[in-house]
Amino acid sequence: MAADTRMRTVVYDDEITRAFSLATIIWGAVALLVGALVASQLSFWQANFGVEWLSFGRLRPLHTNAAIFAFVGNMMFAGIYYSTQRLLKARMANDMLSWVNFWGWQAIIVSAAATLPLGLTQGKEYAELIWPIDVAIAVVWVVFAVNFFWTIGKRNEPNLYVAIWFYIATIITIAVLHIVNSLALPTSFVHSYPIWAGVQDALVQWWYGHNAVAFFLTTPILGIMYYYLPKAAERPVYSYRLSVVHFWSLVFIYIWAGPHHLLYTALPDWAQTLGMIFSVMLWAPSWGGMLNGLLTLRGAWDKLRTDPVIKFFVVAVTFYGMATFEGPLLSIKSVSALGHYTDWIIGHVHGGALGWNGFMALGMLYWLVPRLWNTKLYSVKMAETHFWIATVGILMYVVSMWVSGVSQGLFWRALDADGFLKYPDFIEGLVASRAMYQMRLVGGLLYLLSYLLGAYNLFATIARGSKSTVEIQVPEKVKESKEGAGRLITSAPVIFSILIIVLSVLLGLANLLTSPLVLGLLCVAVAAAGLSFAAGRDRWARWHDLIEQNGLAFTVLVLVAIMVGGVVQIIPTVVISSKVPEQVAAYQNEVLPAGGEVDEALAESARWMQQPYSPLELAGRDVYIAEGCYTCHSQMIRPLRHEVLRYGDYSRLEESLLNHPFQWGSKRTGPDLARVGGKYPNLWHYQHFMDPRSTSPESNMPLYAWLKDQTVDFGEVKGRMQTLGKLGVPYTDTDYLNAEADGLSQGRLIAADLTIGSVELEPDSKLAALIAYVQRLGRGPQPIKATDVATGGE
Amino acid sequence: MFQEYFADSTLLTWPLVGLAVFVLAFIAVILYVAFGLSDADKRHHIASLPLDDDNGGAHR
Repeated sequence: MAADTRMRTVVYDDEITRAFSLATIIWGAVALLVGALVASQLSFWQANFGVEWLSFGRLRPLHTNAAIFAFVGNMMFAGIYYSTQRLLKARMANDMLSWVNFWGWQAIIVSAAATLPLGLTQGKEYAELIWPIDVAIAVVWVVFAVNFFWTIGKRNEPNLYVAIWFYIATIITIAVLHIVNSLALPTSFVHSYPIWAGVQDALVQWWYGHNAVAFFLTTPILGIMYYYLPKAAERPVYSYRLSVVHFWSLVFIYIWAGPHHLLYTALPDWAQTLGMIFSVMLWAPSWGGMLNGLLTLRGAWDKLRTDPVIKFFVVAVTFYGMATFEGPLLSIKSVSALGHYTDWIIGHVHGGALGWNGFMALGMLYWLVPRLWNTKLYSVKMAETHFWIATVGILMYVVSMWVSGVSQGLFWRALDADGFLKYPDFIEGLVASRAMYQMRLVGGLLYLLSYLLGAYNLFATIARGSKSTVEIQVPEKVKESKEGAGRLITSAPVIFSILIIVLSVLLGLANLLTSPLVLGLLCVAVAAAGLSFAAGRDRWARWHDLIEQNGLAFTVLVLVAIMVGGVVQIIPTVVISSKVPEQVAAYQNEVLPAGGEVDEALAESARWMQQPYSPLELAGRDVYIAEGCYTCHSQMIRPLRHEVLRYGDYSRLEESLLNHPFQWGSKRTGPDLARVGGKYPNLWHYQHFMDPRSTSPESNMPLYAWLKDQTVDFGEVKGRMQTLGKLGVPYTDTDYLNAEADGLSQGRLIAADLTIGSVELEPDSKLAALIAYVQRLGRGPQPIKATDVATGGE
Repeated sequence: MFQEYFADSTLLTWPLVGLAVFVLAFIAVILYVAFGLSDADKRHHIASLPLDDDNGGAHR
């Protein structure tokens, strides 16, 4: 450095990292505790103690949200705030924004913990939080983004290390996913309906759900791995080149993989195939990243014996490799046919959450906390003990879920010599899984126990340390060259890339006559690009440097990368599922009356087209969502022989086009309910909800007796129908006007039917509404008046 | 019905754009990694950024 270079002092803001680290330790314990409680409820249904806000369907979303957003979220912020300042050699741009981020995030977590047990939910997995909390998340995330990008703008290190790239991808992608998936029309301060419905909602939800895993639980943690693993190993990352390929391929490919959650469903087949192919492609970059992480320890493997931080990191990266092997495997359609809806998915998710995220978090905290409090770890031995108990616990957890999941898959599909179900009673599979559920509970408790030991160790470390402030000297900042962006846009790689993209698209759209011309132009463009590259290899190779040094250009490129996959999948699905009802209606109302040609495809669509719910059924559906029934029951029969034999005809896209939100589900602890309507009498459902063991002796379903004493507010139901009307559900003014009368009338029919079992039920009770809803599933409109019954109803 | 819908739809443009962007991006990244990062000193400097962040830093 030249002697006359003016230096200035940068003081890092580590107070914010300390706050997020403490929050991580506390919320991690809460998430694991709730997880242990819901795991115990699956083994012992009594473990909700008869309290409605402790029931499985309400606590499971609390567990997942706490694990993802509270535990990993706070860990992610702690890791990012610490590493970003050091990698950019700059203090965070604005302390106040950092603290708005911190307290805003904690307020969101507390709000989630207060609302989810009350049954206030949107009924979409990992996106359950009610709309005001969604708005708060968006605001806090923008605050974080502004602070982060502002810090990039005032950085004192020209190069952006690969960890920063992963953070940028996280911030941009989560913002896009959260906003698109949360678009909803409120009906009150605590309730809303998503603007998406049926297959649209399914695709958008799993585009969000899968990429929440990708860009909240993976990319920021990979950024953390690329920073903290080299720090702990005291050597640079194994291959910087590999990290570049890892980043771009992961960002490009991940976003396409969402439809693998919907294989064999009513999602159009092209989207399923796309999701499967891109999921399999993910193998390569994921394992590239895993190997890059593990090989960073080259020459430092001896530390594995003595350093608990390295131990946690190595196991975390190994679990990353295992989960990213298992994920693509499960995304292959034939494997998904076996594994989907089973506990195998639960094992896969926990391998990622406890193994990859949990161990990365704890490795990072064991490295970070002593440095943040300027002391040594309280007890290395205790950390070692923590590591081994947690490792045993997690292995017990995932192995039990693998065994249980594969068993369930085989159980459900087993056919006898005549081609019929060998185990027609669903409960047989559940009974067979019971021992594995108990083993899972023990594994989970071990993990929780070890975590509490770790938390004690970290708090003891904090207690004997003292807060310190780190300051460094950096040269006076040189303003970022404004020429960078201009040079980037007019550079040969960018110009040729745009030209080739345009010509490729034109080639796809060209007809037989024009395609030779377009193909010729494309060949010329490719040849010209090749010549330009040969003539100026260095200039071509510098394009990434230009992007890397220009934060805005880099961010825009990441945005393009993640938008491509989403746009390609979502726009056609949204357009097509909006067009289907229009085409069917036009066919029925115009083509057929005019003596037009019979269209078999449209006639088939018309046969399955969903009709709106009655007021009581809609109220029951809202109860179904509030109680989190979708956490154990699917409403999607796949076109597989054993499913059709067990549940009835396979589900069509048209059957759920009016469902805001969709309720296809992702797990079958209980059976599929898509065609349960009419399968059992009302009295059976009443008894089942009051005491599931009275109709299914081995069931682990909670009681829902409290629904008998809670009443439906039909004024509220009317408002909800009007909101759905705005979203395209074909309710009429007469429907709104008669909402209360029709609701009560249908409730009276159910109540009257129950008297055969000497049961008294108020017609406006939530239990009557829930019975009305489940009886509607898989069927057309049901009788709502006594005269309807007399004339045959539907 | 859905296949026919796509056959007559300009929506097919989107997958084509996606494919083109996807392929070009990968070619570009490979070119950068192969040629832009051919300088070992430069690679070592960037890869070592996590290691030199607190160098000369003072705790107070």
